Amino acid sequence: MIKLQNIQKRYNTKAGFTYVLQQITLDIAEGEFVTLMGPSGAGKTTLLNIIGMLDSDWEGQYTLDDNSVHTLKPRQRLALNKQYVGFVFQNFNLLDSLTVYENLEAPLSYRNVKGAERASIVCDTLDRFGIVGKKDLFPSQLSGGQQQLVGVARAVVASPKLILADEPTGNLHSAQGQEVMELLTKLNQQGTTIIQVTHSEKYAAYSRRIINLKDGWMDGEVTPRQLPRKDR
Amino acid sequence: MSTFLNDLKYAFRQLHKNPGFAVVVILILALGIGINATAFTVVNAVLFRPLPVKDPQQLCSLSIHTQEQVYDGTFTYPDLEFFQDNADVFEGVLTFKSMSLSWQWQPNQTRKILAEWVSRDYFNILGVKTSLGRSFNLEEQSVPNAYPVVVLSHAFWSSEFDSSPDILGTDIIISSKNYTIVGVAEPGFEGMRPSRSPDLWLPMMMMVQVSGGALTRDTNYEVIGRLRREVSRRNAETQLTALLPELDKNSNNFSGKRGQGRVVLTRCGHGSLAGKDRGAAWVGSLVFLAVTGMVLLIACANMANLLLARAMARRREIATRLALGAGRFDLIRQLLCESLVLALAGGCVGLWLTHGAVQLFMSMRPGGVKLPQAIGLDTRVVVFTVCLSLLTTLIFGLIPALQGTRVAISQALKENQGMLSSDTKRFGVRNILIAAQITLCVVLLMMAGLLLRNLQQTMNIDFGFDDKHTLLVQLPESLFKERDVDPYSIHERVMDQIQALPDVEGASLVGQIQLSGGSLETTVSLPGTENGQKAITYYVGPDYFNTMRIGVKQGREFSLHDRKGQKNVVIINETLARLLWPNENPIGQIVGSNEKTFEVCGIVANSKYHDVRETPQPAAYYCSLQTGWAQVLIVRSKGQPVLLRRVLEEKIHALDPSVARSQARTYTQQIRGVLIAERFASLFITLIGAGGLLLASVGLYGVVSYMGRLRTPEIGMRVALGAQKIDIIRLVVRQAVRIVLVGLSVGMCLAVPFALFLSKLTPFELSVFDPATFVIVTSVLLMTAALACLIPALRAAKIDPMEALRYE
Repeated sequence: MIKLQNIQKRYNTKAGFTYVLQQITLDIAEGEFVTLMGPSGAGKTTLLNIIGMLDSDWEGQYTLDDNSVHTLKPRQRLALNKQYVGFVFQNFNLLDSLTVYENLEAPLSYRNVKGAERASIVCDTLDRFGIVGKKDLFPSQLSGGQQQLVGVARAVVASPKLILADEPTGNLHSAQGQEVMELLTKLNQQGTTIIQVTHSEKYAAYSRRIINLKDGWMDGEVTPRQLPRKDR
Repeated sequence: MSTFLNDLKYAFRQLHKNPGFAVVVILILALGIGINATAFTVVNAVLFRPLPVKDPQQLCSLSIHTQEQVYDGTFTYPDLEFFQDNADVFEGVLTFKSMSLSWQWQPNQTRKILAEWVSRDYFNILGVKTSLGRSFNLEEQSVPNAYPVVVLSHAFWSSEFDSSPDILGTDIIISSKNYTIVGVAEPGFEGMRPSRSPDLWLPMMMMVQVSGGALTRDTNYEVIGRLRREVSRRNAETQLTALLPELDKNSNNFSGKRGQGRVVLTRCGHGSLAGKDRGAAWVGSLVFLAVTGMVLLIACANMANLLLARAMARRREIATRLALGAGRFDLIRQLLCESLVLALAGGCVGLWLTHGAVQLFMSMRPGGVKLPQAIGLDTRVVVFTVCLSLLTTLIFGLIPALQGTRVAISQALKENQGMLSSDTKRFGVRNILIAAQITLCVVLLMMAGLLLRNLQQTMNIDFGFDDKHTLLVQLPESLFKERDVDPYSIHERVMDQIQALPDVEGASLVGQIQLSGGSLETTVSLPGTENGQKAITYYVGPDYFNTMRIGVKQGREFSLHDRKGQKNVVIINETLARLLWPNENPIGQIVGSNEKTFEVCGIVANSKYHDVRETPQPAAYYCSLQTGWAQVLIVRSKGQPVLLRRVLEEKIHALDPSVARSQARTYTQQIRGVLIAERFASLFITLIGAGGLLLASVGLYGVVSYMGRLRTPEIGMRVALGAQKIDIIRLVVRQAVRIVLVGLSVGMCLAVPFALFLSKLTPFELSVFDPATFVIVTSVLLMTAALACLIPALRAAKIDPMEALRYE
């Protein structure tokens, strides 16, 4: 599904080029659950944003299904993003002025889904995530775990083929984190491809492949079984 | 549609979440929109509002254009009758004449009212009904001097007769004659010129009772016709032009000149002014709206800055929406929707402010400014305000919407919630907006400064006479009510009273005073020649030139011997003398005027007659003891004229205690009255400029505060490294100074063409390069800007480095 070849991102500074990502070559098949790991500044979020087509300033070749992303203009990349991707953010990034219902409705309205259909999809999703009772609440009225639940619900509401989760458990305590990870696993089992960024090997263990990044380079790939046992 | 409704819902929610922000924005917009809606309300009343008559669009004013001249409002009463009888293109033809008459409202108590003499069928042609009684019938309007009847205006009836229905059939005394009240006009009708709304209407056939043979003698009637619906204006003009040779045959006044001309019909059923006044009002209105438009632009720039700051603070929300799949257009639409809600709310509050502002404006306007009595909001004003609100949405909403949605998504998503991102490019836009506000302010303040300087310079012009220490007072009308009264006897009666006063240095009677805002013109011709020289004409009594301190260059001034039955004499000014006799001595020469001959007995220095800025004009002075009445007394006092005022008023009142006491005024007050337009324009633009400066200062304050907040960590670091308060103040102020200087320089450059433009459009002669105005405006602006910068700079200087670094 995703083919990255020699992806490179750099900033031009007075001191010369500063590389954030270098020579990233990676294949991710449909239905996989992949974790990007590495220390701060390794380039994990940058790589996630490139895969999600939120960042268009990079070099290399990126193919998403049959679409050569590297040849597309920024506007076309955003259109592709709309078609394929759902995002889950570490700090939830729920829209403060919208209720839970409206937060879930937003991605659908941006995809020009008709009103009646939109209402039906949102209601299904609320039901599926068990948050029907919270639909009229604003994000500030929810706990962190509930907010991330809504964040995940919002990411899947438009039925994306790919969910990109940037430290989805970063701001949650362990019980809430576990709940979110189980949710992602369930979505993966239903066929959604998931790529997450995390620092935690415990949460990385939920995925099938773990790709390590260091100083912008790929630093090997492991499976959860190869992780130290204490963190699993 | 549902998308728009959703956007509206979110917009309201956003504003509800930030009530402080919403209130500030709405108030600033309300101010900008309110000022403009007020200006438009006045312009609407003066130029556009239809008169409350039937089909006002069918009413046309008639003028004749020849190669040499335009005959506009210069018709005789027989001309009117000619059109009434022959102009089939009209359903009816009318005229009217305003006159100030005295109304005896209490026994032995009179006061001035404005009456309008109206021609046959006036009310029917206009389609105006009466709310009480009837209008004039055909007989009352056809037989001269037979039916003294009157129709009151609704406002006059309400204010003076408590809307009593019993007044029908009762008499009121107007100019010492009894008139029977036959009706009250419907409310709202203020005549054809609401800027001079009459208190009552009288049939023109009765005019002869008040002003002698004026009805057939005068040549200053306006002819207004109601065009038949089936006739186009162009056809009507052609048909009326064909009548001109016959019109000319019947008229002696225009010596066959009008027969060659063509008729032009001008729609006159809208607005409150006509003719030249209307043309001047168009120019004034454009300037008026341009000036208020500048304030709106300043307000919009201010708003754009506030919204830009808000858009910056919402970068993460915008980035999130983009990440969720929103297109940039979706977000621009949503941000514009928020601006629209703000602008419409600002428009509503602005409209509410307009209602009060119009009342304030009307109460503040100087007496000489011609405006209708009733100025108010109507559909046109509301539509204008709505359009203005939509326009402001575009002006102040578009830039922040475009800028705010241009975010690097991945970067914006990483930003800390509480931190504002420093983006130099966007900050540049904010600086440009502030500089633009300052530029507009400078232009406004320069205009105001130049107008004030112009006013000051105008007041210092040498008028050719000494207006200081002189008082003017109107004599009672009753002195002249006798037919064939000898002006000499009146002169003696008045002077007996006045010259005995110890403080009086000189006194004279005149028909019309110089610089009164209007002037008469007659043709002075040499015997045996057909064409003469047009000259401004005054009727003045003995001792006039001494009282006015106008130098007698040759010959003598009028004396008590120059009375009726004696040789007719005239005094001319130097310009007329030079034009008539370039190489001869004018003294003793004979000239003809108004079918009489006069001997030139004196030559006096040129002075100002109609306008303080006029070039030397030819003028002729006739002796009022020989030629007619002189109703104004000019008195020169030895000391302060105010000390003489009361006793002078008493003496004049003693001439006829039955009439109301006349108010004396100084000549200087009179001249100030002539300069009313300049004074009004100066005051208005100064106030608007001050308002603009206040708005721009608030904007500057906001930007400097914002800069301070943005640089908090940097300032904290600098303080930690040993920077003193003064270094921090300098750091914060430096950038603001740059913006102010750019705005100031551009404003100064723009002010020059603006001043030239204003000078060309209006009668005001602005000296564009006036160093004093430049210095004053620069100083005022810099001081205000310094104040606006200093408060946030001082706040920045107090930053606690520990806190600032923790913030980092």
